[in-house]
Amino acid sequence: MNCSDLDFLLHRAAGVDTLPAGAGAHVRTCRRCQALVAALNQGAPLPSVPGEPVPAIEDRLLHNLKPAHALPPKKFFFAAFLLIFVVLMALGIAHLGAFAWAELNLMRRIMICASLGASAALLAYSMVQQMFPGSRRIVSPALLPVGAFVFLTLMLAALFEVGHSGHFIRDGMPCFEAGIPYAVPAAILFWLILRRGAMLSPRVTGVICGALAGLIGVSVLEVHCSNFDLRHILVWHLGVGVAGALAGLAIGSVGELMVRRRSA
Amino acid sequence: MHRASELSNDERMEITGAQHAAAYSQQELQDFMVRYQAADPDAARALIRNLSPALFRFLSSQVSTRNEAEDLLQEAWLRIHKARHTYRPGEPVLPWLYAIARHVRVDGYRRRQRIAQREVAAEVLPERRTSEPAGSQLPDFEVLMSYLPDNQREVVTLLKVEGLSLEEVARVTASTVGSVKQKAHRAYKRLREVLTQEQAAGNTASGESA
Ligand SMILES: [Zn+2]
Repeated sequence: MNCSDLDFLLHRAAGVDTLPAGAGAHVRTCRRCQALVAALNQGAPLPSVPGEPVPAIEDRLLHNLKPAHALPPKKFFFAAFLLIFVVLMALGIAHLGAFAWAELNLMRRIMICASLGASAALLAYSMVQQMFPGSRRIVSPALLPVGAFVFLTLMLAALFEVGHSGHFIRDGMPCFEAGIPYAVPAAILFWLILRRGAMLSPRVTGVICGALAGLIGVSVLEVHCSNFDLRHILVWHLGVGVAGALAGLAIGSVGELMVRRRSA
Repeated sequence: MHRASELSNDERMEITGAQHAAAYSQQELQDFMVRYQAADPDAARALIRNLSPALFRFLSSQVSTRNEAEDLLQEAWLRIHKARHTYRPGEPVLPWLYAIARHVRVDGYRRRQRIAQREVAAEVLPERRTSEPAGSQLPDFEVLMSYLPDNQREVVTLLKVEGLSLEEVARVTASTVGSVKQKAHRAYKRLREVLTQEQAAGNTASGESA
């Protein structure tokens, strides 16, 4: 056992005597670890909370105390987010038409569906966790939107090639403009659900919410637009998702400032 | 010789650490939370009285005056109260509670930075430790923590002072267990360096005085 191995035990160790045999033997021979174990276990004693706050808190909280029904299970919200995603995507495809879908081979269809579906599911899951403080995370919520877009970029780059198809901006803008209208109502619906939760980090929640809403626009465009030039797809299709995330970041930042001002 | 990851369950059970500040078990806290949601004043009172000292210690670690710490404690309980419907019965209470308190602490810290110049320091918080352990040359815990960046200090404090598990700290800080382990590992590495330097300095000083 070396110093690094001991790190796994230090979290719960109250002193050398409470360490298991191997770790204890190491600590008895290692001055660095001896000092660390002793220093960490000084801890900080529980302070006595001065007289006034606790009764004042009790008065404030217990005055007119009303029942607060616990939110429904997390899977309920997860299903709700995914349902909004699927319904708005279906509406978009019905409205714009599935021209690309008809031209894609089975392999590409499966890969596009799987990568968009996995990204949407992870973002929806993370959004649910944002509503419930102290939730378990499988991915850092701040890194998830970035990770999702990097993953989608790599997937699309593997599926499509850079080609020459008309005018980059003139052909691209209509796609971007067609995708955004599906992101906006989705973001509003997501927000109506999110506000039932605690939303401790409006900024992070805003980015995730915007990214998921934008991903609806991306999905509609992937099924609709038959321009398979990789640059067009990355900028004008995936750009809808990135724009959604950035808009969410901006709105969330404003929200965070307002919360802080209100509590000041 | 075995690695830490190969320890038996019995050995793991032996390793007792800093205890949760709460005098109640996890199950009792969960029951109190459910009753608090159902507007039972006794349960609410029990939670407030039992958890306030630990919350106060957690919140006061980044403020300089007792008044500020008291304000943060009040604010934390108000936010906990407003968010009590987001507690899911059966889930651990402390990560839920500390996750809310952590945001109050962060907001308070940012607010304090903004108004620092306008504020006149009032009553200063008393020293955490009134005396060094007998025969100890160890630096004060708070002094040691000041060598760490904020995110590492937060993790070590939650683990070693508040007595939360790795899993609970990950929940409180909205990160993964792997990320918490990494931060703790970096913090311990840095603390070993600091303690080695302190010991070397102590030895030099005692050599000179002899
Ligand atoms: Zn297009």
